[in-house]
This record gives sequence, C-alpha cells and structure tokens, in this order.
Amino acid sequence: MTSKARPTDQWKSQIGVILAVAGSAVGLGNFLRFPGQAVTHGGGAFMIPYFCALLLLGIPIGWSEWAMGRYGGERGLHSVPGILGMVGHGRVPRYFGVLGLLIPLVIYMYYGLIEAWCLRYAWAYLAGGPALGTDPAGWAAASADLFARVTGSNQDGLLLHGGLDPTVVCLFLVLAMNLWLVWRGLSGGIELFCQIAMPAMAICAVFVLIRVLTLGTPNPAEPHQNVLAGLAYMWNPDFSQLGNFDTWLAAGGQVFFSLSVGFGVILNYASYISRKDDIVLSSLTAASTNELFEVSFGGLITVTAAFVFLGANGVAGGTFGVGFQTLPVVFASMGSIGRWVGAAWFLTLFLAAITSSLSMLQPVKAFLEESLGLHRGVAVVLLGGIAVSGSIWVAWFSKGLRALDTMDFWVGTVAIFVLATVQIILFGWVLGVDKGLESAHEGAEIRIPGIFRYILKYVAPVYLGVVLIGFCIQNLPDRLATVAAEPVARSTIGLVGAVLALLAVLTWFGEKRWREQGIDIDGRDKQPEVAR
Amino acid sequence: MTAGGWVFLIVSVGTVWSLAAWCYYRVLFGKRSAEYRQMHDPSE
Repeated sequence: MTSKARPTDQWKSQIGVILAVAGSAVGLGNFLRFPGQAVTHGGGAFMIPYFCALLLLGIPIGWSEWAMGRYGGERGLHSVPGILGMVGHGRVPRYFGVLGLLIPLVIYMYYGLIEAWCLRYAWAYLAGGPALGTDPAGWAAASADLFARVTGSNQDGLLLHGGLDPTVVCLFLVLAMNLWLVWRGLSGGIELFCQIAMPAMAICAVFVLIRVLTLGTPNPAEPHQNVLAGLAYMWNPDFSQLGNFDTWLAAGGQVFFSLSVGFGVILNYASYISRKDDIVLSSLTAASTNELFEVSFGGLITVTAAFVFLGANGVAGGTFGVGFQTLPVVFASMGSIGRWVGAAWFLTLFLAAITSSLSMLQPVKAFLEESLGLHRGVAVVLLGGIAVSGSIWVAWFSKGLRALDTMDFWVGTVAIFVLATVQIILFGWVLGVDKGLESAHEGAEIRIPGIFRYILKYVAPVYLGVVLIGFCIQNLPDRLATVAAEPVARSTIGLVGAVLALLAVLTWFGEKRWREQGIDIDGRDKQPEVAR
Repeated sequence: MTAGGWVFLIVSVGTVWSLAAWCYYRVLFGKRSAEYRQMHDPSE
C-alpha cells in the first residue's frame, strides 16, 4: 500500500501539544460549572466520586483517544471519521465518526457566542467597568439587565435587529480571530497561541484568586459573610450525599465534560504526533493542567467570591447566572479595584473560551482538507461560512437562550456521550486493549499501569454506560417534551440534522477520495507506511 | 470551616498541584526528553 496522503501539519513541541489539548479542555465549565456541582453534591465530599471518575473514566479515555488519534495519523488520516473507520475496520465506525465533526462544529456555533459575551464583558471592565449605578441595592437588577442586553435573552432577534450590537461585533471579531489562528496551522496558530494564552490565563486567575482570598470580611454588618465561610460553603463535606446516585452521576459527568473527551478534538490533535514521541505522559499532563484550573481556581474563586458579598443566595443561579450576573455585583462591591478584578476574571473566561473554540474548528478544517482535497484557505473559508451561519442562528433565537440550550443538550451532552461510548468500545474491544496500549507505549516517557488494561476494557465502558443511562433517565423525558412543545427547539434540531447530513455526505466523498489514494481506510494492513 | 473542609480542600488542591508538577517535571526534564534533546542538540 502506498499512501498519497501527506502530513500537512505538525506540532512543534511536546509542551505545545500539551498546552493545546489543555487549552481545549479548560473552559468556562472549569470556573463556573464545577463549583456549582460541588456545592450541590456534598461540597468537599464531592471530590471522592470526582477523583474516582477522573481515575476510572477521564484519564483512561484520554489515553485511548491519544492512542487512536496517533494510530490513524501514522496511517495517513487525521479526521475523526477516517481515524475511527481505520480503528474500527469499517464503514459503521467511520460514520459514527461524523459525530466527531458535528460535535465540535455545532458546539462552536454557540460557544463562539459565549466567547463574544466574555470579550464584551472584558472590554467593558477594561474601559472602566459596566455602569451598575450608585445604589448597591440596585446592582443585582442592573447586572441582570446587563446580562439580558449582552445576550439578547429577552427577545428573539434582539442582537441582530437594527444597528450594530456590540455583542455581534464581538461575535465576528472572535470568529475572525479563531479562523485566522486555525488558518495559520497547528504550530504557527493554535500551538503558538496556546503557549501564550494558557500562562496568561493562569496569571489572570491567580490575580483574581489572591484578591478573593484576601477579602476578609468586607461588610462588617454581615460578619458571617467572610472568606473562611465562603470556603466552608464550598468545601465542608456532606457525606450523606455520597449515598446518592446523583452525586456519582454528577461527578462522572463533570470529569467527562471537563476533559473534552468524546469531542473528536484529541483524536485530531494526536494524529499529528509521530511514533517516536510520547503520548502517555502528554495526555496525563494535559489532564492534570485541566484539573489544576478546575479544582484550584474554579474551586476557590467563584463560590467564595459570591458568598462573601451575597451569602448563600449569591451562589445559586446556574453556570451563567453566577459567572455573568452575580460576579459583576461582587466586583462592584470591591470598590475601585473591582474594575481590574472584573477585567482579569472576564479575560480569564475569554482565554479559556478561545483556547477551547480553536480546538473545535481545527478537526473540521482538517476533515475538509482531507476529504475534499481543499487547500487550507478554502477549507477555512467554507468552515467559517458554516460556523457563522450557525452562530447567527443561535444569536437570533436568543430569547431564553433556547437555541443555545437545545444545541448544548443534544450535541454538547448526548452526542458526546454517544461518541465517547463508541470510542471506548472500539479501543477496548475492536482494536483490542493490548494492541491499543502497545501503540500508546511507543515513544512513551511513562508506562500505563497494568490495572488500566482492565479499566479500559471493562470499567470505563460500564462506568460510561451507567452515567449515560442515568443521565438519559434524568433528563431525556423533559427534553423530549421541550422539543415537542417549542418550535425553536424543533427547528434547531432540524439545523443540527442538516449539518449532520452535510458532514455525512462529505464523509462519503472522502471515502471515495481516500480509496482512490490507496489509503487503507478500513485498517486492514498491519504496519503504517506513511513516512514522517 | 470544619476540619473536614480543610482536609478536603488541602488534599484536593494539593493532589492536582502535585500531579501537575510531577507531569511537567517529567515532560521538561524526563529521561526521554533528555535523550531527545541530546540527539537534536550537538552541543550537549
């Protein structure tokens, strides 16, 4: 077999690919979703199921994705359908791999909008801070009003109706920035940017953390609202929650989503790593970076800051509520330094978002280049057209963030579970766990402990299946009822279906092209022949 | 803050920092990294 596929892109350094994968994983969920989950499910005690899920689910699935990605890349394919078709020896896994394109592309459609909110808030703080008024009693209402204006959540079409809304300007700015960085390629775009953005994000987060931990008791009239009480609210363990299945489910879901496994991103990123380079330690390092941001920044900043100024009521409000509505009130309460703490906070969120959104565009760009033989510039323009169309859809149906919510549930949650389940079965049972681990160990700096052979083959698929079934039982009936009742939800599902169909057709063209090139797309040959 | 709260905070934050520190140490100064640098840097 002679492959005509040429590696078009390469990572420049091991630390670069680690930071790129970590940047993909560190997102808003680390800072906003994790603390909310911990508070709801037993505080400090939540960390017991959380670390179990990390060990049994997150880290092993990560290793399997890195190994499968490199396995496909060595054989000349870098797109998720190509890689899964090769690992799974056939057409069915290949078309399941279309989910690995749909997921990042559709998530980008709403994530790009959230990124635009972060940029707009960051800019507002850098320019002097949003005007919440002079009366502290009115700050909460003013902050809620600001959030409604930024997101257009009061009415459909509010952001795109007449005039040039700043959120829309930010949306196009972040899209242009994302596309430009993706166009520059792996080493010159994504890798270089993540090497700057990740340390910058850490610096911003450390600045906010220091300020939050030195708040003391800012309001003498409310002595019980102090830093220690805020930390206690987050970390005091409630062991009774450990007997609740929901707690274990929530921990599994948090670890799973936080690490960006089942996204299709790691498969693509790892496909550009050569056999002589390590992937075992790199995968673990990327996961540990994500955990560092999640546990030590997300676990110490958000809840503590909200509690110190607003008490337990300030912590309620969900992911967006705490991050975009409660914390601006907290920053206003800090006085003059609040402007800079707010700017650092929203810059942290913006950098977390953009390092993630970059990773969502890259797998689809690689697929367009690989399946249709497009030049990088053409692929980026086509990708940009699809992405901006979806983002405009989400921005238009902004009332109650219904389009965003629908995509987030059906694609950003359910489809990820499905793809991850397919992947872990392919790795453990079709490719074979022994062959997969052997492949992972090529060039490895450390060895995967033997116990993970059983975890990857038995424990992780069962754990994932239980989390998936539990999640569906808890959420599917309500969601199906929502789809039945809401035209926006139905039409958004239709849009997602159209994108899925388009990607499946392109995969069919890709199959033909890859076969014509002589690539072993069903993975029947024993040894890779693609020179590196 | 209860003693249990402190234990969970310190152990959790300590675990993730220790893991990250160990990983980055191995990435930057590990055996393979040293060999790799030696292969590519004749001055070493």
